[in-house]
Amino acid sequence: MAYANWVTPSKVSGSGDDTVSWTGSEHTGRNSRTTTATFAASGVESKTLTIVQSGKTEFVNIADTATVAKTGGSVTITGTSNSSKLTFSLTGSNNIGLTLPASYLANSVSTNNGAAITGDPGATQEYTFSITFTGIDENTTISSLTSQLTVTTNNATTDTCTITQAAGDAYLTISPNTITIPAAGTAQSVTVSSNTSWTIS
Amino acid sequence: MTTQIDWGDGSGDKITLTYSAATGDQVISVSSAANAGASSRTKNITFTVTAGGTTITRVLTVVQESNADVLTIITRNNECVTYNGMAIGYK
Repeated sequence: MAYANWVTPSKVSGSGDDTVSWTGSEHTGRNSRTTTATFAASGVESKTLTIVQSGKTEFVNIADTATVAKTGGSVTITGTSNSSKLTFSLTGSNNIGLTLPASYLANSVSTNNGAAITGDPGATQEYTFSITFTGIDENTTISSLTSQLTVTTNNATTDTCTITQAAGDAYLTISPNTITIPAAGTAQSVTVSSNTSWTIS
Repeated sequence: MTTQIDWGDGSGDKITLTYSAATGDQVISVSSAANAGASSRTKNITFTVTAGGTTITRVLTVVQESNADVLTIITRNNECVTYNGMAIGYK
């Protein structure tokens, strides 16, 4: 039986006493994988070598940062993992006011937040995931806003993405634009609307 | 907070703007000394914000009505004539 293509021997033929080293490609799945290689020589019984590659420790990597336009809208954040389930949560102050979606995409399959991922693709190899926030409001302040998204694996490994929304534009309105004060000087009211400090001159 | 702005008409009178803070949304009370003149007067007041390298200005036009002189004359025929803020002479 041929050995799997994730291992490469240092040589495929030889003579007499020799040493063969085996190199495996990176394995990103959680579970170990096994293959066998057969050594054959004329006139003798063939010998079988079993090669086992350990699984990769459960992990999750999510983008360190993501940005949202000052006008709001949506943002999609991606990452990779080999966990059997992922749980997303908003941590910190959530100044942007994000609402956590009920589901995300794991290995291109819609998956409920915190639910087991269909087919457990992470058992054999890492998969990509993405989560999309929609309906983000416009930033009406002149300061940038941040929220933090934390993703947690089945074995409680975490990673965090800092989401930043660009600062909004300053605005200033006055109403009305013209007032008439009686000759006696009686006070009239003017309404100022702004998202920052203003001066009068 | 109070800001006073001169009418600039030589009277020395001020427009007084009263508000609680010079930031965000505010309702400003705008008052003035009485206008002792026979003509109305107008002053443009500029509101300014500067943020992120952008400056926005808005102009508030303040008009104060005149304290017009009023002269009422009743003639022999009991006709009533009222002169409001007009120069009056006699023969």
